[in-house]
Amino acid sequence: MNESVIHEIWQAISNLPPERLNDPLLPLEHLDESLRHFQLEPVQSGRKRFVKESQVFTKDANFKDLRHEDLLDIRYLLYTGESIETAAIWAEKLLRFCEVRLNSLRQRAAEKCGSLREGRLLVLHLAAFLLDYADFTKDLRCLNTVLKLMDQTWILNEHSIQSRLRGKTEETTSALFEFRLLLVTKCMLSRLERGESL
Amino acid sequence: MSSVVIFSPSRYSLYTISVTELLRRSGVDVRAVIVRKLVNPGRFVSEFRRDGSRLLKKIWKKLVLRERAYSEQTFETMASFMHTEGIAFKSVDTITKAYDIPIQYCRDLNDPEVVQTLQHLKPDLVVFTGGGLIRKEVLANAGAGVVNCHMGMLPSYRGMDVVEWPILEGDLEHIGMTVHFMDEGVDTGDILRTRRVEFAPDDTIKQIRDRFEPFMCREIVAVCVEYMAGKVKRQPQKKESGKQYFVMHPLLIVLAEEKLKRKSG
Repeated sequence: MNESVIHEIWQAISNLPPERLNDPLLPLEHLDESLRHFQLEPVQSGRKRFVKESQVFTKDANFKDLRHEDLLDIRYLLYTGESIETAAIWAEKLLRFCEVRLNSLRQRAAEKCGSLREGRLLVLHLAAFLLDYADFTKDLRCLNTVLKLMDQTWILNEHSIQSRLRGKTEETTSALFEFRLLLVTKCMLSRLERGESL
Repeated sequence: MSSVVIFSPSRYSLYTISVTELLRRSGVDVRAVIVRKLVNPGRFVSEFRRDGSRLLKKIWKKLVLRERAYSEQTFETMASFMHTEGIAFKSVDTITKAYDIPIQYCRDLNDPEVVQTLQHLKPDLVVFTGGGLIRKEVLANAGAGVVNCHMGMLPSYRGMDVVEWPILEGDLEHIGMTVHFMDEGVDTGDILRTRRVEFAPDDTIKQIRDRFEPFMCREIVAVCVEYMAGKVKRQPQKKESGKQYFVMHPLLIVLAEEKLKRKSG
């Protein structure tokens, strides 16, 4: 995806109604740095969450029991710096799962979530977390895994992002996550190309 | 006399041939070589799951284009190493026949017949020259254990593409190898010896990889002989001391290659 397409999609995102920008899965949260890289202005989105009572501290870190709620909590553990160790446990387990089960991930995600659409959304959210983790810890393995996930056509379809932004709410959410993955990976890869760290 | 059984990934493995020859020259009794069959649907499926399209490229290069595994270089490669050492055998079959070493073919190195062979031969240890993960039943019947030479520095770099990963991470001090005991985890068994591998400033990743195997041959043989003589101690790994790496995405391999060029430039 070239830079002009990124600018085009961002323009379309900026024009979304506030209820879509404030999607409860927070696909646009904590994107400022990557947006600045492409001279894009952040939009107002999402809201601060508190994770003190979260299950991510007590439940087993695995894909089988993973919920969007858990992903939101571990993302916020990173954003707030509250417990990087807990986020690290989840990142390690989820990264390994994606790598080892990459070829059966489509079926597993669909079975777990009851439909491929829901399964896909969970995997997109998971990939967003892995990129956040790569960003915070400079762990290139997470970027590596996300690049492999993005190669799967059932997970990411960059050509239809713009049209799906105008679709039903869940279509918009997945399109926003797909844009997030494209934006952040492009930003990370260009940093690496210049010989910088993540 | 110390005794070993050797595990081989294929009948054409130059690494297996060289390790067998060097162990014999060191006075080790090679009781058998157990070879994984080359044509094996189960193996194809498991390797495809792991490597994806890269496996198809590898098969295309090796079997269709018949690309030389070790191109001619100014430094020592597996081919020149074998020439220098006077090892002329072309396959595992020919070396085992020449030295009257029993050879056994299997579908998978974890097959029950392999366990039975080990129980019958009772080697002091098993020397692993490739062939996938080894399961508990085999490990439990391998004498002191199964020794492998990993193409990365443990405990830091476990898993796959551990030549490429330190380059991408700018950690060139950690390009090296480790002789270690295998356990049920991925490269998490006790370490016997680690060693850096030196390379030239203008080397490509492939050239660095080509440099490894002669070193690995000498090192795994030397360490096994020393271990069986009681001269090397096992050093347990701490799980948290390293990370498991996976197959590197092609985009990142390109970046690692560029990073290597920049370092040398």
